Amino acid sequence: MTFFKKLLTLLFLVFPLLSIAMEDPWLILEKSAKASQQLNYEGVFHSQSSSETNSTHVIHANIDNKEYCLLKMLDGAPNEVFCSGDMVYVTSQEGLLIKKRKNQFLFPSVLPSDINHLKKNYQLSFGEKKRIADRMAQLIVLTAKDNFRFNYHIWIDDKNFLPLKLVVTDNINKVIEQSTFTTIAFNKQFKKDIFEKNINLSQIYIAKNKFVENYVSNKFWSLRDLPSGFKEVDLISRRVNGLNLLDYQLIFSDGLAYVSLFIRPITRGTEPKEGTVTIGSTNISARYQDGYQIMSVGIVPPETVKTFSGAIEF
Amino acid sequence: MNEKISSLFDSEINNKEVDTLLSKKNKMAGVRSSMSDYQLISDVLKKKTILPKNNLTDKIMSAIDKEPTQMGGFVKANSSNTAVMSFEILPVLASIAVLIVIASTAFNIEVNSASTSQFLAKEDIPQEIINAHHAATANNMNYFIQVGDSAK
Repeated sequence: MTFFKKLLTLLFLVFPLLSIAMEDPWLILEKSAKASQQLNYEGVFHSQSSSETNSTHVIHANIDNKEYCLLKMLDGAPNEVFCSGDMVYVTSQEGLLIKKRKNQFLFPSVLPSDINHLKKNYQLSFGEKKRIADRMAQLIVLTAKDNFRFNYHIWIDDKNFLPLKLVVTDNINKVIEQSTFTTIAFNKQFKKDIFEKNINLSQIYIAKNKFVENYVSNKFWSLRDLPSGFKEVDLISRRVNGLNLLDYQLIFSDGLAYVSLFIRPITRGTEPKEGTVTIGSTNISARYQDGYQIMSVGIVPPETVKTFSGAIEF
Repeated sequence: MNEKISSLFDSEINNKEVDTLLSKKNKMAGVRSSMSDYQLISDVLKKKTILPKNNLTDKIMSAIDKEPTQMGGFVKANSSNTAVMSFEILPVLASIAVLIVIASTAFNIEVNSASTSQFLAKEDIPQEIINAHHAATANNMNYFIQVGDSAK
């Protein structure tokens, strides 16, 4: 074999390895986000948040480019959730509740479609592979670049990139919440009928605090010094029970973490509150200003909710 | 001229001057207007009953309109014009007071100061706040189901 042939063979062997190494490591998250929307799968996942644990049976399918899912609680009341595109139907013993899905990125669809936004606030690293639900999975760690967010550990299926496990930890590596598949099967064919069979539209009930509007023409507040990377993704207003008043819920996200900022008029006989508390894995910070109770809520560090409630100015 | 009109209503003027004044009243609108004003002042001082004319309100409003707008710079409290100043800001203060009453009644908002705030405890957090947050942002279906339950 001539020297030239040897060199050519070597290049053929090395080039694919080089291209893998040079590929943007963040692309794996993009593939993972797509996989959770496009794959057909059926399985059981287990979720734990502070003291609560639950098991859920899930069927997910993409039929004619539309997402369908059916989730059944295996613990406690036999509640079911059926998703059809952006619509969510929750069936319980009380009846049927219909909602529009907006910011709910339900496990395993936890990753946003725009990964670029995550790059500014998280450091990506690869961990060890391990077996989850009888499948090999690659650990991806998204470490927060500051103290305004938690760390996300995501185990992604080695073959089809679906997230099989999610663990959220704080800066001392304490687990805040986690979800993991215990069994899962892919490539099943599902028909629309199996998702829609339990929907009985005659049992619809209306939530008391139904949303009034999402467009607010008179924003009488301004925000300053928000934690970096958080953007306003939604604004919901609701009518205060018994009063001709609205309260407001502003929703912010950095792509993974979510914070709600509530601006609520204080009614007579109500004492305004100030301070920060933790309930389960959720932190809440309250502040009073000019007749309004401001509260920020989120599964984020206490410093983050405190910064959000202090960011409002009238 | 105003001095003579004033003297007329104080009965301090002779007959000849009365004739002259009345003659000018018929010819000059300014004299007519001044006499009307002095008549009103005299009636008020003598506590006579004054019957409002139909156009009295219009006249008052018109006179107010012609007054220059006060843009701040009130006279200092210790100056000789204190009484005038108090009188001028009274309508402003009254308006502010009325607005506060209307706002606090119509909007039913407690006008509290931050110093009366209570320290936040877990029991103070309305469950609806937690539910509203998770209903709008949950990435865990269990939250979503629970929120669906409690939203009824």
